[in-house]
Amino acid sequence: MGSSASTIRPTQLPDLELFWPTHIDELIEHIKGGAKLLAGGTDLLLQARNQGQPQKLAWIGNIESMHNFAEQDEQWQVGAGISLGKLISNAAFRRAAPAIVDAAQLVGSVQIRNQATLLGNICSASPAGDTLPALLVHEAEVETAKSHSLLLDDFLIAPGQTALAPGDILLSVSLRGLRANEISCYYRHTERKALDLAVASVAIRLSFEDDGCTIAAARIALGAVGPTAMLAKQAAESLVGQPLTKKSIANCATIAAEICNPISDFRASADYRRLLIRVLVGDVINQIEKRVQLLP
Amino acid sequence: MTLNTADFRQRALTNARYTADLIPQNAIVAGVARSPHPHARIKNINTAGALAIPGVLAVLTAEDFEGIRLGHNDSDEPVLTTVARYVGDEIAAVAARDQQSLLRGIEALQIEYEILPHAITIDDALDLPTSIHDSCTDNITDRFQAARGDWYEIESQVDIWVDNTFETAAVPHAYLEPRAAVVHVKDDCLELVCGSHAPSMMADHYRPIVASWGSQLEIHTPAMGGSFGAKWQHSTHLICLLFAHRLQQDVAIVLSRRDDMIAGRTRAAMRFKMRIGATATGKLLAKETMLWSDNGAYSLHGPAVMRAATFRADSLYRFAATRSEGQLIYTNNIPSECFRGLGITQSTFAQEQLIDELAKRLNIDPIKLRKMNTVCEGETTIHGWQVGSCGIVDCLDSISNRINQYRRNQTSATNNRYRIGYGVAAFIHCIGNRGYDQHFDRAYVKLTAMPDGRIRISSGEVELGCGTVEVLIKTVSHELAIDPQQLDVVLGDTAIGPHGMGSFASRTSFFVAFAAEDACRRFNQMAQHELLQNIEVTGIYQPDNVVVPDESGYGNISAAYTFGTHGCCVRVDSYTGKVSVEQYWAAHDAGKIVDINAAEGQVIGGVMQGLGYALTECTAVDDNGQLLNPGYLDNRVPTFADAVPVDVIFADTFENSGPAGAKTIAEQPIIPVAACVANAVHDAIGVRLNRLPINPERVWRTLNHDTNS
Amino acid sequence: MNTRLILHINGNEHSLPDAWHGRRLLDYLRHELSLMSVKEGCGEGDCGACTVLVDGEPMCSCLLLGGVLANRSIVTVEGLSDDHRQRFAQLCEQHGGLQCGFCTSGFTMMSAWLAEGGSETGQNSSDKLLAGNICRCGVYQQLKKVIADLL
Repeated sequence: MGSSASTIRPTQLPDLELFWPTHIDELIEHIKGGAKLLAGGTDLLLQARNQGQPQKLAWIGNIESMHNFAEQDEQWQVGAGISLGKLISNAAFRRAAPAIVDAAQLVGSVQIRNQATLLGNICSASPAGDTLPALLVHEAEVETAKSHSLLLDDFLIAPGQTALAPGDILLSVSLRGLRANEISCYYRHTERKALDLAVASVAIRLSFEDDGCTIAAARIALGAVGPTAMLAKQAAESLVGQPLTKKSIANCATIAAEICNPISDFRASADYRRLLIRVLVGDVINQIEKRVQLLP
Repeated sequence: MTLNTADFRQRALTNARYTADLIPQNAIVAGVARSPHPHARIKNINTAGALAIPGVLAVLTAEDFEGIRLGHNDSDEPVLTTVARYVGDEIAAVAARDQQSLLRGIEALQIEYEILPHAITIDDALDLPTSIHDSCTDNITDRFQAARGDWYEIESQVDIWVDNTFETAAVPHAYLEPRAAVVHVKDDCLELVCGSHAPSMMADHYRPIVASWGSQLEIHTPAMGGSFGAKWQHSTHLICLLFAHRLQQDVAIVLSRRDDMIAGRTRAAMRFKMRIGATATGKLLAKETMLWSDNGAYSLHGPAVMRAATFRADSLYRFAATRSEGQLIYTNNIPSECFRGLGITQSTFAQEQLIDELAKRLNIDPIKLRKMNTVCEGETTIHGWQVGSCGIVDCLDSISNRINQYRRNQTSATNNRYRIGYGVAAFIHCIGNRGYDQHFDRAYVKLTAMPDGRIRISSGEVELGCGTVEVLIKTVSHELAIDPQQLDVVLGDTAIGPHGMGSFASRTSFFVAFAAEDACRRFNQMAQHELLQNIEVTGIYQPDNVVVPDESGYGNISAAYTFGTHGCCVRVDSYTGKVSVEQYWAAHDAGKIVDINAAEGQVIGGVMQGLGYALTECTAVDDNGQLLNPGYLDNRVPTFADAVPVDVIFADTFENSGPAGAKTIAEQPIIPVAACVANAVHDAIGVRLNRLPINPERVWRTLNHDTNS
Repeated sequence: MNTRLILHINGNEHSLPDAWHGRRLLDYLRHELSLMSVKEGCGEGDCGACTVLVDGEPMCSCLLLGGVLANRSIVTVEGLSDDHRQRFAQLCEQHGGLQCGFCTSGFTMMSAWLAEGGSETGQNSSDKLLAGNICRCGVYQQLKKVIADLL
């Protein structure tokens, strides 16, 4: 819709050129040739439809190694081909990464969750991407074909922008599942009850001491209040070494609201988003406390 | 399309065919080049690049439609324009063999613009140094004034005034089936297939145009995936017709959701400055309204909507004097169009909040205050409406009872964070309006004995999902004592006719039932001396108690009037401003209810649309007129998860002038919803939300006395 | 390369022509196979009118390319059992579960999925599961009854 154009581009998917690589090397050749990696396609096809680009896509459905979804020593590996629906329906994963499942269940609709992938959500790098704060509190690391592993926090650069080098591709994400005495949760604010984008969101993971109430470690991440999903380290640290109290929660919420960096757009203003963070931190901790009571 | 008793079942089985399902395999596809600028003069269009693309067959520009205008009142919208007046305005059209060539063709058009200053808000438009239409230098395209009673005398009796400014948002109709049209070339006749709620009226407008090309026109309406007031005249129709005429091939156009929202239609955004005066004991005396209505770039039903919004809601109460003024203002926004409830939906948002405010200030129960002041059966309202049956008091009592009962059983009490509140709002609405058009309260139904022995019922009206087909079949099978299985219904086909005004102002079922009764009388008479196969009769209905109102809108414009009261319970999160509607009650006086399922369906559906209007929907536009939310994700129409329990109550009334005592229920349920929610929010948190939508941030800002809400 | 892609649509094998590899399943179903129950309401995965079952799971056919569906089973309303279609239609008639009818295909597909025990975690409420199917006529309350009666 650039103002220099003669007309608004009609919303129409161009005829796409589709490739079906069966090996990662082959995939990379296509990527070097200008194709985009197609997994679920829920974002990519919209992009192609609304902007006319990309027009060449390399689909990873035939690359078996990109469909790994397994756990080893509390580390979960999720391949690029794994849909959100697969994560949600896996009972062991639901126990291992509740925050991620909370978030995944809020993305789009059942239909979209059956198509969209977790790695697609990462690559889109939307500041409001629901799974991103949840992945951050689960210490997610992404693995690219050039075989180095990168902290998700370092991978997300700006809206729609990641550290992925030209010609490189994302293979999988690994994340740390919960251990004993740990719990995680994701909360967001939207206007509608479903089918909506987060106006602000908070993910949290707490580890409790053996006494079951003192916080041993904490991670908090915020969504839609900065160019990328972001860790709120100071807010998390403020909880450590003490039990959850009204005062400690309020203090944590205040810090989180202070360190976030929202913008104003048509969905919400910056100061409203800041307020939401303050409220959501309290709400998400509340929810955590409920989940703790349900722990064995 | 031909419909019969199985029509509803066919739709339920997904066998019904909509416009885009009826595109012939080899049809030419058409598309539109739209302005990326909100206001710009087109200096030059170079079509050579587009025409050079293989597969591109033809290009149309404004020249091809010289002198042709769309619109009912002002006829100010060109088919293709030489001055773009909103982002999305149609500048050129391309026809191609396939979608890909079409896409490339549109992208290859070179259009040079001279950018003009633009106005996105009413205030900007009133200050704009240039005019949006040459014919309208101050951008005020229509004005309306009405004054009743002895204002100064009555004013002197007023003990208390309540006043406020209210603003409503433009929202898209967001019907699920995007706009589409197909034109079949049949000898010297062009057959336009498209969803519309007023095919006869469209044909009246298009036929002379098509005739000037030397061709005839018929319009055929298949199943339609929602209109809500939007699917009427549209440039896509004439573009397809002209391509089909020139190329002598079938042509189709289907808009994408995004394009449909960018260049669709909206409910007009309005600003009201309104005050209501009463005695200290709660007798309403005077109401003053100043309205500014954002017409958008072109006038479709903009003037009619503005006029209705200016004064019609007054008729609910026994005001002794009213003063109303409305202005319709051109802006560089998407053209506004009628949308369920006309302008009454907007003005009720303002009026019913002021009534609520007055009740609070006088410490009178809001239901009681309304009961003290609503018009009654047999009365003539301040605007000359002769009220027949009137169940408003029943409706008010029902809502009062339901709320009290619910409140007693309510477990979730107000706490520091979550505040519970209850609200009510009432309305009056007409059925048709003779002031709008001579056909407006006239309907025809034709009965034709077919060679196979079946009886065909035809009408120029259409089925919008309100049950018109059912009404026709019920009436005719009863009057002719014939098995419903022997009846076929053809609606909205101009080749078969007869003429029909279309579905405006909730008139269809009321009018066709009478016209069908008349047709049956004529049919039975003829059957006494004619062979069955020779019988073709047309029944007509026109109410006789109705007049064309005077210039100020005074007069009995409608054969009957409908009333209703809504109530709701909301839970407001005072931390975030988020409003959740916990329970909703809707009491309607729709006359005698003929089909309870269909009637309840209209109410529940209307309430859901109303809740979207109240809480989440809007067209978000940036300073350059670009629509920021052209889809269902960001323009938040309610989803399944947002559904609220709606309890529907019908007042027990019988309308002597209505078919079998019925009035109507179609637009009505959306009318009081936004006011009802706003009143409940006020009850919950003590602040008044005078702008739509009542979204969380706005509530939070209002609660915190932030003036930027 | 993959020149011959077989799609199993409503129980029949269809060899997907090359030209359709990089086009939407939605258009293939409508234009090539005339499966007109599949509706395009938004083309953006928001409205659910184009929902089909792919290997038993609901997906938006507007966001699927034909070429990624080799050997997969695709079911549209036309491929559902007549029993289910009739029962769903009859319940819609009984409860007023549609007005304009444009969303009905999507809801029929979701109802078929739910009737087969469809769920994300085994304990989702139908409210959340049906949130991807928009009915602008707003008859959700009636559709809730339809779904409840069906299950």
